[in-house]
Amino acid sequence: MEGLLPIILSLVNSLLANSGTIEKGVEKAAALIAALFTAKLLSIDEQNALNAHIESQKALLAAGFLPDYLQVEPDPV
Amino acid sequence: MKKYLSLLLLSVGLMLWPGASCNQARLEPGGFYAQTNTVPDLTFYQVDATYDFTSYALIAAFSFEKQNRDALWKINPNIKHTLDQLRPQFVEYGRQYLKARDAYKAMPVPANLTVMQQVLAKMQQLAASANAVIPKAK
Repeated sequence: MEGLLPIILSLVNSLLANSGTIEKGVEKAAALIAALFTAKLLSIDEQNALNAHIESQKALLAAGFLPDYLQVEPDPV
Repeated sequence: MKKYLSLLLLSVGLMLWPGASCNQARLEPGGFYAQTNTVPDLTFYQVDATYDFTSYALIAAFSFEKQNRDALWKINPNIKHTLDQLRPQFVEYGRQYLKARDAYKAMPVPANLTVMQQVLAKMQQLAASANAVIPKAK
């Protein structure tokens, strides 16, 4: 486990350095890796942000909102 | 983008690794998962964090296919067809997870957490299926 973690963090850092548009996803990956593989203290803000983000999905589902990337559309012609 | 998706979906696979739980991460008292006068619930945080990340990885795959549909269709029509099968399952599992999560919040017993973990496992299988069909960077 200890040997794998530096490799994962290196890949994450490499992606962060190479793109801004995927920064959010890589931040999530880094946060999750830290939560699972390190002795990190998970702050109040981090905890509350995660809970708020998941709770916001309930509101979207209740409103019947379905983003276009989740809709099954006809095949290209 | 393809390399990023592969990494994201590979990371989701790591969450299935039993060794992933042998850490000493701590919850700062006062946060949602470590509220005053309650026992800090690190497992709840980890399950939620894994669900959030798995969801994000799948959304990235769906968005990528949607944005590059014409080009990916020419590579392999099975990419869209496979993801089209996963899309409604993702929505349904999301509903199931949120329902199970509400049940756990109301009654934080191991059985309710197990339901969340079972739904999460199904979402991780979706992520594995998406990873199998998304073209890999050369």
